[in-house]
Amino acid sequence: MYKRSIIFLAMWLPALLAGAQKNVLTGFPKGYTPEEVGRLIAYRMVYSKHALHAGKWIGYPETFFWTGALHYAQLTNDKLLLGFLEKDLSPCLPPKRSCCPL
Amino acid sequence: MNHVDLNMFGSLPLTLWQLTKDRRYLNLGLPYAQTQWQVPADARPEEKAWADKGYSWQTRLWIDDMYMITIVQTQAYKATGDPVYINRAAKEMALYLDELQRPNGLFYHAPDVPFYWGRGNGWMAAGVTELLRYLPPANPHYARIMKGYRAMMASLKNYQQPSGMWNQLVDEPGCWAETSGSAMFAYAFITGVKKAGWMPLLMARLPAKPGWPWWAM
Repeated sequence: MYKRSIIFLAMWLPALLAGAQKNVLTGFPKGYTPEEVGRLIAYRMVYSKHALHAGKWIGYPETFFWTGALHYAQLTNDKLLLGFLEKDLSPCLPPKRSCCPL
Repeated sequence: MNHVDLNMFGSLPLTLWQLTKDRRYLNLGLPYAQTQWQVPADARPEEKAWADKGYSWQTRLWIDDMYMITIVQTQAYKATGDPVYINRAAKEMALYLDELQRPNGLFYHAPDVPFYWGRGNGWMAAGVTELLRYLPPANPHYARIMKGYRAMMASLKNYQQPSGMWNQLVDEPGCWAETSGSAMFAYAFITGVKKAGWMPLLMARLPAKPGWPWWAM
């Protein structure tokens, strides 16, 4: 019986520890939450200029920054931001196809 | 579309297609994933040799590639559901791990550039994480890639600075703390902690002062 309790406890231990680990990822101080920090970064896409590679193409820093902002808009359900990010990419679509690498 | 740095662009419209279901973004993005495995007529012999073995003709064994290539192939898989894209990315990642990962779990920038560049290792950490998030465990390369991820995470814990960040050259205590690599390492750690089974129990402890300011509180 005693042995069985130990085994039972041992089975739960990983889950308990995993729970404790996840707590590190919640309860952030004000100003440091992922929502707040993410917003500061994502909205830079709205008001910063495009950093075109060689002056003509959307390069990798901007591609990944843009994608990160899209994820932020999706996760926070920010339709205004999503709309802006989409509209900003529209010149890449045919027939203009400007700014996208060829 | 003749270079890793150009083809990666496809990951952006492919992501937008998944969010908006506007087919124009799928049509814009998919060729960037496809041409990465279509050898152009004027390709160099070594590029053709990589393609003959089933790798991208754009293979160059730089750690940067393991974000640039996997991100567009993984997004093409997510956008279409066609496993051909993620299978390519997995085969490519397994090659890079075999060729570039050092016994200490970290990566040289390239075989002839023997330095543990922080941002480059960040590309690797984020790329392998992004791939493992979507790679079906039945893929023949899954175990190899997970092994590479775990070895890297175990090593990175040892190089984290008291500030919670990692340095420009990961193993050089005299180098400055570097934000982009630290952010990508933090992403790889957080994802691994949240995914059941990615880290063995003892490894599933976050570093004492992990990479972001809010963790130092």
